[in-house]
Amino acid sequence: MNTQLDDKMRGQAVIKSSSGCHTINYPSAKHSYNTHTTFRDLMTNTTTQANSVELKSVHKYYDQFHALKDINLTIREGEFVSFLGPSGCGKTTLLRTIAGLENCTDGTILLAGEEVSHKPARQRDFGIVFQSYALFPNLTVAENVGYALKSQKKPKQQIKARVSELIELVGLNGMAERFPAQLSGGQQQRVALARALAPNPKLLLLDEPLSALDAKVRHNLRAELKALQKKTGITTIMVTHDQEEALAISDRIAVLNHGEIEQIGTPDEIYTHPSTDFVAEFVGTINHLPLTKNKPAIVVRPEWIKLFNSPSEQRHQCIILATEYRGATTRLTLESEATTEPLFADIATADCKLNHFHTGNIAWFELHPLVYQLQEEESQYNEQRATEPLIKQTQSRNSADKSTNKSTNKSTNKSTNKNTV
Amino acid sequence: MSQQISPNLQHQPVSRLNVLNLDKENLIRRVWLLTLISILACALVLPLGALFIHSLQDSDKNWVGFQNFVNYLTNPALTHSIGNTLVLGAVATVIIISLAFTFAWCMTRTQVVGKSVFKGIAYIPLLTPSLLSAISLIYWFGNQGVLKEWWPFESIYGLSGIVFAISFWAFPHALIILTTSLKQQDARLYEASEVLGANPWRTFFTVTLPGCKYGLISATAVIFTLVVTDFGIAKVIGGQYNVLATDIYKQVIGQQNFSMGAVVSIVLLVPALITFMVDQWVQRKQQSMFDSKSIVFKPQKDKLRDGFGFVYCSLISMVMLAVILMAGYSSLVTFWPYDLSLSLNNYQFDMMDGGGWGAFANSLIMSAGTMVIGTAFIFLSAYGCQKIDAWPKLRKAIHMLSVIPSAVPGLVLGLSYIFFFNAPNNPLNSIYGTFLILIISSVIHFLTVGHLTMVTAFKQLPGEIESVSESLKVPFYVTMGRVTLPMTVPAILEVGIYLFVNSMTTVSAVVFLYGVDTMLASVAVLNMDDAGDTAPAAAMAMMIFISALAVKLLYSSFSYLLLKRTDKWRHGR
Repeated sequence: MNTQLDDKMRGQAVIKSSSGCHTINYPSAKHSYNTHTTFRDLMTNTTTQANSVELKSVHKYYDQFHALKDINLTIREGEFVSFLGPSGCGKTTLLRTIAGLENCTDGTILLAGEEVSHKPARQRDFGIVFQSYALFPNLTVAENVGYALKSQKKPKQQIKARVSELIELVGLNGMAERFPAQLSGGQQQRVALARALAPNPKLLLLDEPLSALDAKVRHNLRAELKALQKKTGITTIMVTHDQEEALAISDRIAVLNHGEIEQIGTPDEIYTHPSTDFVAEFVGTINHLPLTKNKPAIVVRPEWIKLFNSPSEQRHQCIILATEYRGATTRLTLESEATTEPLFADIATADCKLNHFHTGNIAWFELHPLVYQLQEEESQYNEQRATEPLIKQTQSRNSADKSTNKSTNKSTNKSTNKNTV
Repeated sequence: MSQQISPNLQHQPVSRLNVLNLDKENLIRRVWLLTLISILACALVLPLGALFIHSLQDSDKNWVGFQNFVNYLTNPALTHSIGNTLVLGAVATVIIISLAFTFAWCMTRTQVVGKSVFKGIAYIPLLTPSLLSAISLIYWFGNQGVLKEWWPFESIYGLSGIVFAISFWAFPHALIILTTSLKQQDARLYEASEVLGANPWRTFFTVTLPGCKYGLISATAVIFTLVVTDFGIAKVIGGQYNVLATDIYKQVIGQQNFSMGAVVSIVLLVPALITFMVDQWVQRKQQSMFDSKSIVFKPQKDKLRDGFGFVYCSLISMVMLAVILMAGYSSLVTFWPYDLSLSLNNYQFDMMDGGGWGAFANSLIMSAGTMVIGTAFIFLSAYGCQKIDAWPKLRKAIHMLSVIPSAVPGLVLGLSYIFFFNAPNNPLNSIYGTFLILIISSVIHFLTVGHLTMVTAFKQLPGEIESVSESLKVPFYVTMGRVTLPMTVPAILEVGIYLFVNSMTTVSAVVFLYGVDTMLASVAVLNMDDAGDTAPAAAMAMMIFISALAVKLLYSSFSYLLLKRTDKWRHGR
């Protein structure tokens, strides 16, 4: 009884509106969007891609503090997955637990199919890059990169070849003999990356690798990091608190909050179909809108609102309460009779200038067609869910799942946990 | 807690052995820590335990319970020393702290001309045995002193003499703590105070004093311990003024009453332990005072204030120089006060009792040994505490044991070594009377400062270095040698010279432990002075000072050259 109630609470965020009480329906914790998961799920069923990382109900306690709560997660070979969340959400702890730098209190960790739950870090196969670079300051770039190889007693010639290959890979040609203190932050982080890749690990762990860098360097290195990952095909996990970075670079994102995975999915799933209020607000700004009667309210991003200086049938009149100049776009705060709360809209600054969208002026807004499409999907999903209990009454749980979701993959249905993918 | 974790039927229960994960590296980690704790047990815990046991036995090793303590407390001649010690501690601490605080304030809050010269002179006493100042004072104000009539108190031999001599010797110890504390104050507070219109006096009482509150408490605790546990000065210039430290020496060396020596030692441990705990408490409180965002205060010019500072620093420096120069002068005078011609007669140590030049050579050997062995041990033990990832409780114990020696007076440590290492049934008793026991006692005696210096250095290194090394599957001890060691070279050098200088000048622990072949220079000073050979004692004290100074200067240039070579990676130059 309790869990059912819980799920209901989780799936609905209650907001006030002029016509009474509307609810925003987030996809239930137990289900994914069919339209968005089917293709990927089919892929996983037909390909032989191995699982690189598997976490099964992993818990971590610091004394009484429950740092990681029942983490279930599977990462396939070659995937780039980001752990995204505010500070203190447990994302770094999770990364360090996978690395073996922290012990997990309970649960199972498999790397490349092998159980490593209680093995120390040196018996797990991974490379790691920290926010602070953690380069060995008394060693040159080449010595840093070749550090692991030298310890493996590889032939000198072989080490030299591998080191110069890696130095070229990260774009530091000609800097092999420099010391870390003679390099910029971005260059140091490249050395750290080459050093982590040198022994050819199966898994690359990145702990906020770009956070200590200037904005411009960060953007360049981000793109290079992504390209490098695709080129080497190494499974990669990155911890970040920067949602834009996570959206730009990842194949999938796991959003963490209070030691739990709130949602895991592709960047697009996370952004357009956030499954909880927390995820919706963490990855961007949201408007809660009751749009049409008899249809559920959904999340509307500020850039999904179009603004005009003339009325039409589909447009709602509004007054511009405030403007915030952001360069390429301008964020407008709109007040309209259609909504009880002020509405945020991101409009191209050029349009604002041409159409005189200034504070105090009247304008007409319209929603992007995508919003209606998403809303349609939401309705279908709700109807589908409404039929479920009937079937469940007559059939066992497993067969019910099979008959209702033939097209969806097995792993989704088998698992009773929202975090499993 | 465990209730919240759902039982997972799929994964096998992990066996205890598997959790320990005893591969080669983990084995080394554990052996490393066990070795450290064993060494500290043998060199500190067991000897102190032996001391405690002996305090409960009579001279024939019969158990007498607390009878010794009863005897002690009912002996007015001995209990009188407790009062004497407390009076000495209180008076000397107040004087030293006031003088050193003013000096530290001049160094950090004024633009006094010649700051580095003043600072250099103020640190001279660190290179001298404490006996030197007492001997020098005798030549100034003693029975045959040049300025005997000028001494404002009845006689130099007594409380006033001890206070003066120990003020000279302990001054730099207080100065180091207070200067550091004043330096760490955030300049932004001074700017705020000035902007809000407070006058300099108000700023002093609302910003400066509260800001270095913990430094003051810490310095007071350290100085009080130094004063009440030093015995060399009280021995030389104390006259009839008995203190606890001289009582231990008299009981053990004079009367061969080891049990009573043990009892007095335990009494002396009480104030030392109290001040130690105060200091520990302060250290914990002080940690968050200065952060990376704080700005160092840079004083502006101010004629009146800087003038006062100059006069004050000059006065202090003149007194310092007077003490050291008189020791040097008296050591060169042929026969004080009848033949004031200068000669090196007093330096012909082989012509007199007290150990001769051999004692001086022994001191150099012992100090060099302490420097090498002690630095290596301190590096490895601090590394064990700070960086070895195993058995956190044991590591905490090692850390605690490394901090405790600062609360154990040298005399007490030396006496406990007699009880422990000289016991016939102790397999380690073969080291008694050798250089090794002198070196071990010195390492333990000066362990705390070295340990804390090294721990601080390790704390400043990024913790990720070990994680990276582990992910690269490089054993931790390889990374220790290739990365951690080179990065902490400045701290290692600092610990090395600290151990050398202190071993050269110390007299307290080793006075009980030297053997026939291992007579030391600092003990020779004591013995020659005791025998009435004051001038040769001054000469030997000067030799200690000169050699400590020479080694310190040589060492500084060596360190400078060594660190210069690493400039490229330290500063990117």
